[in-house]
Amino acid sequence: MTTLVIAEHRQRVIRPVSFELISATRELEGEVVVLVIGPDAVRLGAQLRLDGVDKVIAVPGAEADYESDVYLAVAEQVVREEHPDLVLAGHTADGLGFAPGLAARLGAGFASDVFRLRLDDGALVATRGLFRGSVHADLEFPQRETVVVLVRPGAFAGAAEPASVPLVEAGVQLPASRARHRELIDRSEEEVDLDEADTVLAVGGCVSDRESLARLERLAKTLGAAVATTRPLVEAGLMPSARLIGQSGQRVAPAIYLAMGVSGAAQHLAGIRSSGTIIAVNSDPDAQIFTIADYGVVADALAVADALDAWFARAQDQRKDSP
Amino acid sequence: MCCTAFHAAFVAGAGEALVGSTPSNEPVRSVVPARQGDELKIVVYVRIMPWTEEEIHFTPDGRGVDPGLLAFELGDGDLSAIEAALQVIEGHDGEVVLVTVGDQKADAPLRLGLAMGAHRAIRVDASAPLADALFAASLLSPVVAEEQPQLVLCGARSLDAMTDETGGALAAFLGWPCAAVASRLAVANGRAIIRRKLGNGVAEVVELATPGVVTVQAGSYQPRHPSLKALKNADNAPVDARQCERPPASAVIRRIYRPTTENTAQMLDGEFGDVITDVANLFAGRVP
Repeated sequence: MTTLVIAEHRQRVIRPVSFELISATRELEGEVVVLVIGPDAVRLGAQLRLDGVDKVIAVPGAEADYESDVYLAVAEQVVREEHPDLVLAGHTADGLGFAPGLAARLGAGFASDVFRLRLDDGALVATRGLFRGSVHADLEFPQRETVVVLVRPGAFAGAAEPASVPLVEAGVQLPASRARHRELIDRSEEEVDLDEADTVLAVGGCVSDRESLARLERLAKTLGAAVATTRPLVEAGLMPSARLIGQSGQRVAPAIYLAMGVSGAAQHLAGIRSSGTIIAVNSDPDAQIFTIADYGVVADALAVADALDAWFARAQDQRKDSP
Repeated sequence: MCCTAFHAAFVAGAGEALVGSTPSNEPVRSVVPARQGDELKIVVYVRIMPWTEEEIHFTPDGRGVDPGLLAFELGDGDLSAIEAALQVIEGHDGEVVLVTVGDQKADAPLRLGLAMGAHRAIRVDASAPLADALFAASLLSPVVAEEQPQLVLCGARSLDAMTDETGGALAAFLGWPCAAVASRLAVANGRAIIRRKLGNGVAEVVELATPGVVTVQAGSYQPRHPSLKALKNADNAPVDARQCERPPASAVIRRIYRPTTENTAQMLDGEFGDVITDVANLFAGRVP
């Protein structure tokens, strides 16, 4: 089986998911070819000469680091030349822009948000979750010469040792992009809106005054999280209604939802159920929030907030100290 | 920035200021020629996902889910996409057309979309497979092509992570460009400006030629609540059901099962310090 891995990068840095895609091929036999597209493709491709990789193809002709239709056109040409059995891309904002289209154009088999890949008697089996992960499904792809799989970030370990791997610079015909990159806006240092936040910290009934609210807000700042809340805090005048999730409030879908002292009223749960990972901290082991959470901690949310904040401060100090 | 302000300011010609401070190499307006007239048609693909809060039962062959207990509803991504479409056509002579793939159970959620303000609904009559994102795209591409919209929107990052893929595949079947995971969009003069959410507070501004497909991040547009009168009117609204031939499956469920760890929270316990480290590690790579 030959696998083509389509690497992801941003702001001149290889994204962690690219290394994870390479790891994902370990249980599969055969060749692994890595494709890097973008003006910096040769330099970035050199960083992907790793153990387990047989060849790196760099396509440096593109104007922008990422444009969905350029990736689609380049990937399609490379697939038609290399004839891989499997194409891997990240289940990310970028992967979603071109990989489903690649599968459509190739008439390939297709699976997304996959966290396990294996061969069974030579045939590919991909595992994904359904119904918010409450069931898993093993997928197969009968009568498909090629299969395109989007792999969930974080599902595979990302480390691999550098190795001596040939890097080929390929001149591929590039289309004029109809989805043009204009600019990157980096707001990672600013407070982000609730509906755009990647991480949301929800403040619940554990907070009864401004002093305890400030402790949770400090953690939110450390995490780069937007702060959300439940109805009692809005009614107590501690939080504005714009930060309310649930009945007459917002629905959110961040990658991580950290519920601190939130009991989990039905309306609140409905407003957060599309979130990626839900982490709940509550001193009541029977709190409803634990029925929807992926991870739970039974503890005083304020004590956990202080300790987490201290943990990240220590981690940052250690990074500064190390050369 | 609130989405209405983004849209209004963009249409008023202030789009340059909104997309950021970096000067562009060329004026935006020269990239895509202006369209004649001010008509705007947007097709919204809604997935109408099967969902249940109850325990899921499998079919006897172990390859499917017993549909008896499943409800069909608009997901958060669907709702965001409908709301985005309604906001974008404000001030235009335009229409929002909902399309989906499903059986009659999909009609009620489609009518909810009509009550929100969408103008028409088309349902391709077929039971959609659970894990085949290309199925709907393949069935819908001729329907969308016939409608000739400037934009197709669909939800992204929805509960079952399936609609994003349909949008990308639909674009490819149609030969149109695609922008995935948008948190804001505005349309004027035959082009769409989209802010894509990349994660960790980083966003990308993309200019999409139309016709094109945009997937809209769940939760990024807060859906309006239709009035009781609108809901009542939509009760009898027609849904245009179309027949079709089923395309070949792009993936087949070989086995469906409960994961060994049930869908209850994994409780982190032990020494307080270890628990804190466990929680902190869940944020790996996300904390500045």
